[in-house]
Amino acid sequence: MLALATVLAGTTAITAACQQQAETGMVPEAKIKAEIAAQLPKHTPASAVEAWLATKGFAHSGLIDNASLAHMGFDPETYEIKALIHGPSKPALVRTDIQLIFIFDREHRLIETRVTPVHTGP
Amino acid sequence: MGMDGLGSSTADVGGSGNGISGGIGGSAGTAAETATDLDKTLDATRAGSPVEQGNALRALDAMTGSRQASDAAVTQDARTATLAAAQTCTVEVRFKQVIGPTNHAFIVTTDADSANYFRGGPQANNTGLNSPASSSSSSAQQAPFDPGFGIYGPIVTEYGAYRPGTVDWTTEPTGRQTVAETPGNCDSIETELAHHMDDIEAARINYEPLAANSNSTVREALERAGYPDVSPVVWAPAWNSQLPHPR
Repeated sequence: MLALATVLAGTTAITAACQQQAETGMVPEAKIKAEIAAQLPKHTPASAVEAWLATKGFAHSGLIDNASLAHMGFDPETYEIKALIHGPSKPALVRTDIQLIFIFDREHRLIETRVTPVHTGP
Repeated sequence: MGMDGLGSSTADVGGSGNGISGGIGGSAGTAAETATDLDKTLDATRAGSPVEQGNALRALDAMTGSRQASDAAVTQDARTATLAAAQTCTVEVRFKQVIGPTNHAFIVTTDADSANYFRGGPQANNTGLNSPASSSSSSAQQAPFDPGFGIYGPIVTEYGAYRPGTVDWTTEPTGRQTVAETPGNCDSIETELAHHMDDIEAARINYEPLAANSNSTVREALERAGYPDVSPVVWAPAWNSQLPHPR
């Protein structure tokens, strides 16, 4: 009985620690949105967006020419950069990351930014 | 020594020894021997180290008394290699671990120009937050969250260039299998897969981790694109779950 209680207490403590790490480890979506709004306004050059992503340490796609993806319905008048902020690595059937999508015009000037959660499960 | 037959067409030089022997002439035995030597030298220009290939090209020049043969050999090889790369589309299913032995499947198409991905997943994760709607094109509309669905919401799909920073990017997939290799680029296959992904999302199917999920989405899209009977190389729960077709 004591052993079972110890195991349960240990499991609870580990779970709580994981949850705490998860909560503090996740870059809040709202914070990122605010940062982007302040530092990457419309018409920011793609090179500046890439530099910002690099300083943050976010893996990103580099500039994608959506003209090459027009056959899949992408707007050929735009470019885009995608980046992913990994969510907490807590064990879960479905994990959530934050995806950043920066859309540019043909002159490589920022016209739209999206910050959205993206979920991955089996 | 007439080398017109050799130099007139790269296909003659690269294709076989027949074009060479016909142009070299002489007695039948000598022509055959010379043709064999030329064939061997020609083969050597395509194999071995760069130094060995260079030596073989110089030997070819010496044997034929002209640079036409070596130029033709190089051109033929470059053209053949370029065409081979440009004319193949590879459709793969790759997998990432989710938790324990469970895996998440996604499709990757690759041709000489690019690699693209196609995937499905839940719209929400307990919280009720929306996730991106189908496709990442700037015209995409955000799918409305419907509280009538379960805690994961409906299946949403996404596709685009497969590069670092995209959602399923990994250099270490837990599984990887080739579904098809077809001549030509991937454009028509990608158009079709994108269409099927859009249809699956439009069907507003409740995401259920072990019943209707990313793996069912991939299997369904492949099946609709003409690739049935794909069996996953790792454990991908709900792979064989049938998703409802659009009305």
